[in-house]
Amino acid sequence: MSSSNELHGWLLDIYPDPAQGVILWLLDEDGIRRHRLHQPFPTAFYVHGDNGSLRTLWRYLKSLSLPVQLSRVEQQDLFKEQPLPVLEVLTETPCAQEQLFHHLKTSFPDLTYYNADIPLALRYAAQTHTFPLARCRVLATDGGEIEALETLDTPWMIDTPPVPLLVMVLTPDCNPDHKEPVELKVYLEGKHYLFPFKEERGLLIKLRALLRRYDPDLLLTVWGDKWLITKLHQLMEKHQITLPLSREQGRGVERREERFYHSYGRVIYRGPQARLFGRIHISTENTVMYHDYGLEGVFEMARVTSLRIQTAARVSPGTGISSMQILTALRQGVLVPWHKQQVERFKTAYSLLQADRGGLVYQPTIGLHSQVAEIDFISMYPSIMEHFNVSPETVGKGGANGTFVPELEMTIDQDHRGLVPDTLQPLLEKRIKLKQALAGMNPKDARYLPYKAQSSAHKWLLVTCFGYLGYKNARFGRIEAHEAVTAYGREALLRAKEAAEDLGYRVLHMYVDGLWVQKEGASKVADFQPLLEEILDRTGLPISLDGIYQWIAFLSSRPDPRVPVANRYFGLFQNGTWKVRGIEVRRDDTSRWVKNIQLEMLNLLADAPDAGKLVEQLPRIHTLLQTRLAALREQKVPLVDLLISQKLSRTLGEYKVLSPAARAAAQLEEIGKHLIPGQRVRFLYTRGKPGVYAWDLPERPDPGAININRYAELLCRAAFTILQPLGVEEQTLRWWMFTNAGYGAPPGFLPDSCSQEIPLLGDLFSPAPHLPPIIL
Amino acid sequence: MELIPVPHSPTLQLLVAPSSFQRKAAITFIAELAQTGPVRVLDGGNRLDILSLNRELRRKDLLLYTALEHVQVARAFTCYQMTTLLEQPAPGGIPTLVLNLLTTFQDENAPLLERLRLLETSLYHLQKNARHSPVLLIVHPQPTEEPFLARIRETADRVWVFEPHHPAIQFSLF
Repeated sequence: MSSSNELHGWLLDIYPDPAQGVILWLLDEDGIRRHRLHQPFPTAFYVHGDNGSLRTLWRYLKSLSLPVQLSRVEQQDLFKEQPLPVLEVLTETPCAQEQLFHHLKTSFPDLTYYNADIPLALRYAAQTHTFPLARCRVLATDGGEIEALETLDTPWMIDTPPVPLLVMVLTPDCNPDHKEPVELKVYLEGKHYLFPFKEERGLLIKLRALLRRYDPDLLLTVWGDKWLITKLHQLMEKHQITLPLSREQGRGVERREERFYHSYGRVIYRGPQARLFGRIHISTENTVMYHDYGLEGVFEMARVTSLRIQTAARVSPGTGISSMQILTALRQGVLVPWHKQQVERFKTAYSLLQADRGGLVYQPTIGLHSQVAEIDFISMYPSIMEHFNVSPETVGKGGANGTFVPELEMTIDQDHRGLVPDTLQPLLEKRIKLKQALAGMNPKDARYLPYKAQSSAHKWLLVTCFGYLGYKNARFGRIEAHEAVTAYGREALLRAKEAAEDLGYRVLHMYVDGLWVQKEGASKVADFQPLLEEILDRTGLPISLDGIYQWIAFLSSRPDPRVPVANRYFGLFQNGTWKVRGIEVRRDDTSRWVKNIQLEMLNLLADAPDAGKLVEQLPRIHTLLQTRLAALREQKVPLVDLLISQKLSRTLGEYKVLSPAARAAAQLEEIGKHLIPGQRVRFLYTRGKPGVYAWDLPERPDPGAININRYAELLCRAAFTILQPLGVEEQTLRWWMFTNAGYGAPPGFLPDSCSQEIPLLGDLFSPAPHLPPIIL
Repeated sequence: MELIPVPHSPTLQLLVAPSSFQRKAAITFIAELAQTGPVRVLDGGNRLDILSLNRELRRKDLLLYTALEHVQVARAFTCYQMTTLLEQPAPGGIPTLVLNLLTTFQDENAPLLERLRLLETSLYHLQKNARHSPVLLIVHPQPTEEPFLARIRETADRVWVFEPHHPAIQFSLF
């Protein structure tokens, strides 16, 4: 082979081809050329059953006269002691394998299939150690056929050089759910174009010219999956002009329908998808966690899972972790079942009572506390899986060095490394490296944001991997492994609590993998270091100091102020950053107006020098609430800030009583906009019936129709959340907000300096009968 | 609930009831059976409230630990898992309660034909088990589950259907 056929570059895309096996697109290291390469890729799957059934299948396959090779082999099923005799069906291409499997699963449904529905990217990665955006060295013929391929880096490196991807951004000028967009905005190579949709032919010709001239690697669209690609297709058909959306000639767009499914009692909506060939299409509104980790996180998700970038962008972290497990299985020669058939072993009701407990929660001590340290186990559940070798095939097995799971009558095999810990180990190591690097890094460092995005992608994968042990469709899941992890988790947290108490700390709260502790005189990082070391020593699990709060407020339940609520708190770290959990500002169904005001209240509290001076901020908060309420009443709040966004939990016909979200969805249904469960509907609360106005109706509502009282009440609740720990009673707050009462407090409640400056409403705490009621 | 006999003889019985009644019935039956000996529970979709069972057994003033040890539970989350569980024969004479069988057949990942095929396999094994052990299915059907329920009704030896009590309307005299 001549040296001109040796290529160096980054792997952009991979997909099957009926004739050529597998197609790879490589971005040359010069950043300019893109290479289309192909390679024959014979693909096998395996079938297990009784001898008679397999013989029948063999005869049937022979009778089809297809180019397949059949052989009896032995392969390892993860849950079997001995290798399993199976029929290997080897097809010439991945496309042929997929077609044949679809045919057989309906013709021979009683047989057990393995390695039958694995994405090509994973099969290829298992054989070649490639992954998306991997740097590769390829030897190829003049016709582009790959003769040899070598991967030059690994997904576990943290400082890979940036890939010079050419990105074209396409965005309609408004949300198509609301009204028909007028213009298409295009950003490319620092330039900005505006194409009116009414000039249909012109838009297509100009867009085609840009695609041909620049040949972008990535189309980053807004509303692309849901609307834009479909719209462009309609225009293409109407004007008989073809846009080269895919880089591969002759391959259009791969479409997938929208769908919804149930997960942990929640309805999850997945929008329609439009995937391209040879060019990457990422549609921001349909990209999982795009708001959290952006493009860099999507790339990282693809790198570590080995899924195509377009796939990694659209699948849940659960599918991501499942893909990683499949890859590990393929590399270890373990069969990947089509369906999970592994069932729970029968256990007594007593054992179930012991095992089915979840994480340990120690209710917080309600109220304000100062100088509190939060200590967290680093990725606790994944660390447990890795450290204690918890995997579906290792639980319930003793072995020579088997270990007992605390509380449970269960042992774990320590003689053989489990598939799940093997999968998690490099991911955990990379996450810890990134966390360590980020800990001492200046946020202005160019690596800071990419590291944060990568770390966030890892976090979601690691969070999900525990749930996947017990997930019904996880191919390598087992409920006993899930229970073992939580049992180890409870034990570790108890040991941490004992360690803290032995060293003289007071434990204020514990929540699954974290502790909040306090000690007289302890306020610096070094004061908590001995505790961290003691916990590491007693548990064997990595632990870190999340931070030290200047003060933290643990909240009570709304109906009963004596009852604490776990994981509902807000606190100010010594470095001035907030940590907030379970309150309105964190909720998806809180309007931006309420969120912003709650944040403003928190920021006012942050001005207090210490917890003892927080009440001095009450006059400013009172003024803030009055000002914001006045703006609401005077219709000065933009309607978009009042939007409520809620998920539909069922189809409209299934609602017995229509919720506000369902009423808004019914309004959209009337104008032909159909929503399915799991989708969000945005609406405003309005006066009279039906009490809501769907935001995605074509007309904007009359600002005068807004239900001011409803929003005022929502604000009151959010304000009470913040003020309750300061001793403000709900009725007092209502007077402050809804009557003309000035700011006041009972004698002795405020420091003298503060009380003297503020005029008090004398009868505030003995309500006058003439106070008007709040009408909601 | 007192009208429905606790399953002791080898038959395949079906109880169709709304979810609130069904939960109560399941706990009552399991507690009754656990008083006298082992009972097997196949829990579809993880709906068995083990804490309620614990309370019910304590109320019966039994040796709690012994009674809890009498109850053998396995949970199935998919129709594939339920079918695999049902393939395991019940030890002779031990009653089996199958809770929320249909929940596991509402799996959006399995095509309808596949689910119906698995249901047939499940029913075959249920009948086989019912030849030597009592088997009680307790279901709370959703409207979409009607084809599945109809097939189970055909197979069961005895069917109990909970009908809500509608008080008679008393007409006013004037």
